[in-house]
Amino acid sequence: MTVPPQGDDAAKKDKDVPPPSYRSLAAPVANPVDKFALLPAFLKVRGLVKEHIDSFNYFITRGIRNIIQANNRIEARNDPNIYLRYTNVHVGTPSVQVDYKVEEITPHFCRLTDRTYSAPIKVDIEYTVGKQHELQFKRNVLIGYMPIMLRSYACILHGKDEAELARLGECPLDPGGYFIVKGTEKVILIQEQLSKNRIIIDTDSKGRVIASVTSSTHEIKSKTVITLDKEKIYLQLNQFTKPIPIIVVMKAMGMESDQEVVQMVGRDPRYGDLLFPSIQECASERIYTQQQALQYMDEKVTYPGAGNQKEGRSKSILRDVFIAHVPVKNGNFRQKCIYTGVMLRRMMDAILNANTFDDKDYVGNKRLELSGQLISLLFEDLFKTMNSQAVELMNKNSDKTRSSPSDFSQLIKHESITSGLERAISTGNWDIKRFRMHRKGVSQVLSRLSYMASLGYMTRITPQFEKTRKTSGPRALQPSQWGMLCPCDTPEGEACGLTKNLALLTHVTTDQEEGPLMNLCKSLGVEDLSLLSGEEIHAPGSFLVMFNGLILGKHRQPQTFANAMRNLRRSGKIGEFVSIFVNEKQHCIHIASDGGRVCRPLIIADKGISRVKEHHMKELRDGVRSFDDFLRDGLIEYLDVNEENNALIALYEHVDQDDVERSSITHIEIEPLSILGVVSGLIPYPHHNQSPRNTYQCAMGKQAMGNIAYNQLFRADSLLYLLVYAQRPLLTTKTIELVGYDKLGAGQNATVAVMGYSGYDIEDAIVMNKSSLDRGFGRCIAMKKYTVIKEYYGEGVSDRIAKPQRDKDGALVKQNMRALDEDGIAAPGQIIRNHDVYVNKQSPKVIDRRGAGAPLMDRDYKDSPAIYKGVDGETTVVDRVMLCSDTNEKLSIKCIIRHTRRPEVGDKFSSRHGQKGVCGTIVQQEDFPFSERGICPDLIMNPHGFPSRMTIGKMIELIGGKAGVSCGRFHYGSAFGEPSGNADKVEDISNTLIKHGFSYNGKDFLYSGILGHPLEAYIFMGPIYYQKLKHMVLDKMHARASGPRVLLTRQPTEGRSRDGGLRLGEMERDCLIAYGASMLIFERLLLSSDPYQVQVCRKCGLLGYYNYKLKTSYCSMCKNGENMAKMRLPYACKLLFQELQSMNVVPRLKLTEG
Amino acid sequence: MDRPAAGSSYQRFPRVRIRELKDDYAKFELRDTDASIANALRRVMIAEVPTVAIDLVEIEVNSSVLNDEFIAHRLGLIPLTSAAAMQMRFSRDCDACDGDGSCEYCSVEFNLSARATDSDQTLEVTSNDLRSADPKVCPVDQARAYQLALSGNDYDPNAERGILIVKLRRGQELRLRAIARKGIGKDHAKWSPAATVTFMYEPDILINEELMDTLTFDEKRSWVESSPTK
Amino acid sequence: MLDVCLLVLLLSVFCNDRFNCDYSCLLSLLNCLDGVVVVLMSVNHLCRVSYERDTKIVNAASFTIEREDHTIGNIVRMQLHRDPNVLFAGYKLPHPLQYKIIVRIHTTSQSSPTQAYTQAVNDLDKELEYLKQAFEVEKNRYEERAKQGF
Repeated sequence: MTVPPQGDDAAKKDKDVPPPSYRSLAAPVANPVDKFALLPAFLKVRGLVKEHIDSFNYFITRGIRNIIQANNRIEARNDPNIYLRYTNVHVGTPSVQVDYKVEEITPHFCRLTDRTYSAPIKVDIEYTVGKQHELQFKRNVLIGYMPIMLRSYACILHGKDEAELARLGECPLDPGGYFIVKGTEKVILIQEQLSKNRIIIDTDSKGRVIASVTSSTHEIKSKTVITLDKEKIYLQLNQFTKPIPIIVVMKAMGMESDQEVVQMVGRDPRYGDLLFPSIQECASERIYTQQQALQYMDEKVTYPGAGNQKEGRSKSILRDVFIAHVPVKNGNFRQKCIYTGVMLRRMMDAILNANTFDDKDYVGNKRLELSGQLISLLFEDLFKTMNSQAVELMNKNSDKTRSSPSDFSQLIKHESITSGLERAISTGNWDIKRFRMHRKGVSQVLSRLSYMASLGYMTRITPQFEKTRKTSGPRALQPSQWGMLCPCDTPEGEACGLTKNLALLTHVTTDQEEGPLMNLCKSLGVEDLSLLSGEEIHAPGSFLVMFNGLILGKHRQPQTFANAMRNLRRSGKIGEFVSIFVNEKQHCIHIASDGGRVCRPLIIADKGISRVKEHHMKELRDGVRSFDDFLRDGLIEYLDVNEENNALIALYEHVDQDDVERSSITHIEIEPLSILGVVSGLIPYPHHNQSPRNTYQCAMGKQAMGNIAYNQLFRADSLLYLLVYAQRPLLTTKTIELVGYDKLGAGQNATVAVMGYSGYDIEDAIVMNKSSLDRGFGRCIAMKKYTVIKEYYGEGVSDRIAKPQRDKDGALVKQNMRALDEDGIAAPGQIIRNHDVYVNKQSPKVIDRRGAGAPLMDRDYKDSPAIYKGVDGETTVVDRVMLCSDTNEKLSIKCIIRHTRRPEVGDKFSSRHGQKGVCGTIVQQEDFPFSERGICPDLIMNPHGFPSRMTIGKMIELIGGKAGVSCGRFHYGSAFGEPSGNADKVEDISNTLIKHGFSYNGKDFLYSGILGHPLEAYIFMGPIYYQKLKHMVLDKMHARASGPRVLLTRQPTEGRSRDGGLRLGEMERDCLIAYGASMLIFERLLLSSDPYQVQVCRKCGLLGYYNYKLKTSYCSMCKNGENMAKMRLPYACKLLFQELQSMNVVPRLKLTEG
Repeated sequence: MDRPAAGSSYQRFPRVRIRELKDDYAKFELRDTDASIANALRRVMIAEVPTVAIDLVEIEVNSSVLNDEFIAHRLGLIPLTSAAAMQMRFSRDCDACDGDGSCEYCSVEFNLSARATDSDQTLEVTSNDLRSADPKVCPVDQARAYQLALSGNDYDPNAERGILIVKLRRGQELRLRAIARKGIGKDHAKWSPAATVTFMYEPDILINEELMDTLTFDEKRSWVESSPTK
Repeated sequence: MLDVCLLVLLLSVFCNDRFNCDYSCLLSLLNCLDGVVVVLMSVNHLCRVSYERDTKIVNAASFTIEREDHTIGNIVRMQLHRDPNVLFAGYKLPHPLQYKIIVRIHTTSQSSPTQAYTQAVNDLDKELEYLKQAFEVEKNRYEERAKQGF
C-alpha cells in the first residue's frame, strides 16, 4: 500500500483530515467531493438518448450538406451546358401539405392520425433554361420529406420546456430519438460493426494469419485481406479470382526493388526471413517490373471485360478498390505502398509475437452506426437516384424533341426521396445498391409496453453479423466494455451477448472535420511520409501517427506530441471527442475523430488528485456552472476505449489502491454506478446479486406494467397496459431518479413475507392477499385499439355507418348493438361485451357501379359490422372513439376499448431481481399471517427462491424498504454506491430498524392467521417493489372441445386466436401407445373425429365418387361403376391421395375382403 | 384411564378488561380462554362483520382523468357509517327488490356531482361531496365532522378535508349515482370494518429481584433502557 | 364498534341465514370487477352440517360444515380438545376453492362424536354469549370510569 503523497494541494485540501495513519487509509473517502451532481448535469445537457439525437442533428445540419455538395451538379448527357446545381440545402420544420396549404404538425398529431412526422428538405438551385442556357435561380425547392427524429434540431419539440411540451401533447420524460412513420413510432437501432479503415490482424477459419482492412469512402466500400498461406503472403480481393502474391502487388504499385519492399516492412532480419518465400515466389514467376506485375494481375481479374482499357483493369483496381481509403494522388502509389508495408509489418509482428493479434471483440475496434449515419447512407442513395432519374428524363426529352430543352428544375421529383425514406424506416429494410447493402430490421417499432421498455430500445445495440453463430467470443463480456456498455443488459437466448446496451454515461461520437486536425498534427511536428524513406519510417524511437486509419506521418517524440494534443483538447481548441491514443506495442499514435466511437466522460486527475474540487461542485449546485463548463475548463474530458488504455482510472479519489502508485492515476470515475445502463440501473443493490439475475431483471423490467408516459391516456397505441396504482419504489437508486422512473414507475411496493404458505407457492409461485387485491394491488388496465376503415370504392360508392336499428318502441332490434351510439359507433363509457358491435358498418353489395346512375338505396347495402371479440364474462368499456382521415383520405374509426383487470391465479409478477413467479393462489386476509402490530403481508414468497438464486440484493431491498417506511425516507441502493453514499449500508439500515422497534435482521414475529398461534420461526418481512408483468392468464387461457376446422384438411384450426384445437402430438401419441391404449388413438383421432367414406375402384385402385342421382358409385378412371367398393378412411388420408394424384403420383389401393 | 362421563360441560368464562377505548380504537385484555377464541374474534372482525359500502356506481358524466372503473373502485373503498348495517338486508336476501338497489331495505343511494368551474385551481372531489339519501349512512368523515359540530368541539381540519376521490381540472366534470349495500369483508375488503385487528400474547415478566439488587443504578437504568417497548 | 363485532360473531356462528348463496351477479355496473366471487351452491338450508361415520374405526366420524372456514373450525377443534373423551379432533379445509370444512372426531367409547360435537358447540355458544355479556359490562364500567375522569 502506498501512502498518498502529501503535495501542497493535497495538504491544503485535507486540512481537516489527520495525517495519514492506518485509520485514514482504511477510510474509503477521506474528503469526499460529492461528484454525483455531475451525473444529472450531464444528463441535463445531453439527455438520455443523446447519441441518437446528436447523430441525427449532425446529419441534418452537416451531413446532408456534404452529400448535396458532393453531388451538386447534374447535367444533360448530350449537352453539359444544360445543368442544374444545388447551392444550398436545409431541412425545414415538420409540416404537411394539405390542399396546397402547408400546415405545421406536432408529433402527437402524427401518432394519432397515422401520419409521418417529416419535414421538407429544401434546396436552392441554379439551372439553365432554354436554348441560350440562361442561368436561373430558385430558392426553397422541395426535393423530399425527411422523417424527423423527435427532439432533434428540426423537431418542434427542441428546446421546449415542460409546459410547452404538455401543450403539444408530449410527455416531458419521453426522451425522443425516434421517428414517427405512418403513425407508428420507429427506432433506428444502433448498429455495431467493425471499425472501418483500420488494420485488423486476425486468424481465419483455417488458422492462417490475415491482415484485413475494410475501407469505406463515399464512393466505395471494399475489403482488403492479406493472408499468410504456406509461408507466402498473398493479397485477397474480390476483384481477383486468385490470391495475388504480395510482392507482385508491391511491384505493380511501382515498388520494383525487393530491397525497398523489405525496408518498407522493416529492417529487422526476422521480417526479412518471413518475407523471403514471397520474394522468391515473385522471382520464380519472373516478375521484375511494374509492367510485368500488372500484366500478371490483369490475368487474374474477375471480370476482365469491364474497366478502363487504357491503363489496364488491375491498375484501376489497385487504385480504387485496394485499401480504397488510402488516396492515390496523381498516380502516386507511394502512400498505398507504405500502408501495405505497415500491414505486412503488423502481420509479421503477430506471427513473431502472438499477443499482438487484434481482438475483433475489443470495443475499441468497434464502431456504432447511429440513425444519422444510416439515414445519410440512404439519403445519399436516394438523392443520387433522384438526380439520375432527372438526367434520364432530360436525356429522353432531348432525344425525343429536338426543339427546346426543358429545364432541370421541372424534372426534380420529390416523391422518390419521401417514399424511399418512409419505406426504409417503416419496414426496417435498408437496401443500398451502391454498397450492395441489404439490411433487415434496422428500424423497429418502439415498444411502449413500459417506460423502461422504450428507454431500453433507445440504448440497444444490435450486431451486424447474423446471430446463428455459436461462437462464444463475441458474446463474452469484454473488459473494454467497462463504463461503455452495460454488463447486465443483454437478452437471453440466441442474441445473448451480441445485442448490447449503452451504459448511462456513454456517448457515441459523430464525425469531425479532418483537415484542420491533420494540419494541426503537422504543425506539432508530424513528419510527412512522402519525405521519408522506408528506412526512416521505421527508425527506432519514432512513432507512426495514424489519423483515422490513415498514415499521416511519423513523430520522434510521441509522448510529447500526445500530451500537446491532449492539452489542446482539454482547452477546447480541438473537438472534445478527438481521441489520442499512444500504442506502445505498435509504435503508433492513433488519432481518431471519426464517428461511431464510444466514449465517456471522466474527471481528470493530476497525479491522482482530482481537478474537480468542492467549489466547482458548489457552483454546479448553485446553477452557475454547467457540465459543459467542466469540459471547457479542462476538469472533465471524454475518453474513448482506446485512449482509456493510456489512462489509469481510479474509482475514488482517496482510495489507496494496493498495487498502484497514486501519482500515476490520471483520471477518476464520475460515479461507479454509471457502468450500468438505464434498464439495469433500476435494480437496487445489483452488486449484491448473482450476475445472471440482473440480466433477467433487465429483460423483465421491460415487460412490467406501469405508467408509460404523461400523455398515456391520450395516446392511441394498439395495445397499452397501465397499472392502476403505480408507485415509486421505496428503495430507489440514483439512476431511477435520473431517468425518471420515480415519476413513471412500473410496480408497487408490496409487503412481502418470505415463508412457505399453503403449498400453492412451490416453484416460485406467490400467494397473494385477497384484501390487498381488493384495495387495488396489481390492478391494471389493458387498452386495445380497434380500427375500422370506412372504405371508399370510387365513384361515390363507399361504406356507410348506420345507426342501430330500433323497433317502434325504441328497443334495439339486435341486442348486440347495445354499445352503439345513435351515430352507429360505440359510445365512450359504454360497456361492451363479447360479440357486441362497435361500429355498425354497412358495405355496398355491388362495388363496381360504373354506369349505374341511381344513388345507392338501403337495400344496396349489406351489413359488415365490426364485432368485438372479447372474453366472455368480462366487462370491458369503450374508452375513446377517434375519427380521423388516414393518409388515403379514408375515414378511419379508432375505438379504444379498456379493460380493468385485477390479478388472478396465474398472472405473472416479479421483483426487481430476476425473481419472477406466478400467482399461485389468492388467500383471504384473515388467513394471512399477521404481526403484533397488525401488519399483514400483501404477498407471500417461498424462501426456496433464495438459496440457488443468491439474490442478496432483494434481501437488502426488503430491509432497506422496511427501514424506509419506518423512518419516512426513501432509501437508496445504487450500484456500488456504498462508499460514495449512494447506497445505504446494511448496518445503517439495521440501526434504523432497531430504532423503530424492529429486529435488526428484518425478521418479524408473526402469528398464524388461521389458527392464531405464533409461527415457529421469525419471518423475514418487509416491502419489496413488485412488478406486474404483461403475461396474464386472461390473454392466454385456452381450451376447446369441438370447434372450427380448416376447410381444406378438415383438421382443427391452430392457435388460440382461432379457437384452435390442442394438439395431441407425437410425444403424447407415444405415451398412449406405450400405455397400450393405441385403440384409443384410433378411435378418438379417426372414428370419432375424421371419418370419411370413399368409393374405391377395386380394379384400378383409385378413388371414385358416388352419384347421388343415380345412386351408384362410379370410377371416373375405368369409366364404369362395376368394381366399386365403399370404405372408410380419414379425410386427411383421402386428401393425401388426391394431392399425390395432383402431382402425378398414383396411389392405388389394393382391397381385400376384411 | 379415568374419564368423566360424556356430556359434561367444558365451558369457559373468559374475562375481559378494556385498556383503551376510543371512537376508532379499542384495546382489551382477554383472559381465561385460548388463542383460538381470540383469533376467531380477529377473523370475524376482519371478514364477517357486515358494513355498508358503495357497490354499484352509475356514472352519468365523467370527464376526469380517471376512468369509470377507477372512480368506482375508489368510491367503494370509502368507509361509510355502518351502524345501520345490522338493520339492513343483504341485497341478495331482499325480497322487496331484485337487488338492483332501488329499495330502502337493502341499499342507500348516493349522489355526487362536481364540476370544476372556470378557475385555474384544480378541484378536489372528496368523500364530502357524496350526498347520501339516508342520513344514517354517510362517509365517516362527514359523520365525524357533523358530530364535532354538534358537540361544539374544536374544529378538526382532517375531518373537513375528506377522502380524495379525484382531482378535476378546469372544465372537467363528474356526476354519478352510487348505491351502497350491505356486505361483509370476506366478499370484498371494502366491507371490512377494521383497518387492523391483531392480538398478542402478553408476556408475564418476572423480575429476579435478588439479582436485580446486585446491579448498580447505572446498570439498572440501562436495563430499563433496553426494553424494546419503552 | 367492538360490541357489534361480538354480536355478529354470535349471530354468524349459529345462525343459518348467512350466505344464502344465490348471488346472481346483478352488478351490472362498474364495480363488478370487484364483484363477489361466490360459489353458487345449491345448498339446502337445513343441511349446513352433515355427518359421516367412519367405516373402520368405532367412535370416529367426520362432520362436514358447509360454508364455514378456519374461524369455526379452529375454535371447535380447540373446544373438542378440552374434552378428555375426545381422542382425536381435527379439521381441514379440503380445498381452497371449496367453502366448507370437515371436522373429524374420534372419541372413547364413553362418548360419541356426535355427542362431543354437540357439547363443544354448545359450550362455545355459551362461552361466546358469556364473553359478549362480559364485554358489555366491561365496556360500561370503562365508560363510567372515563366519565369520572380517570
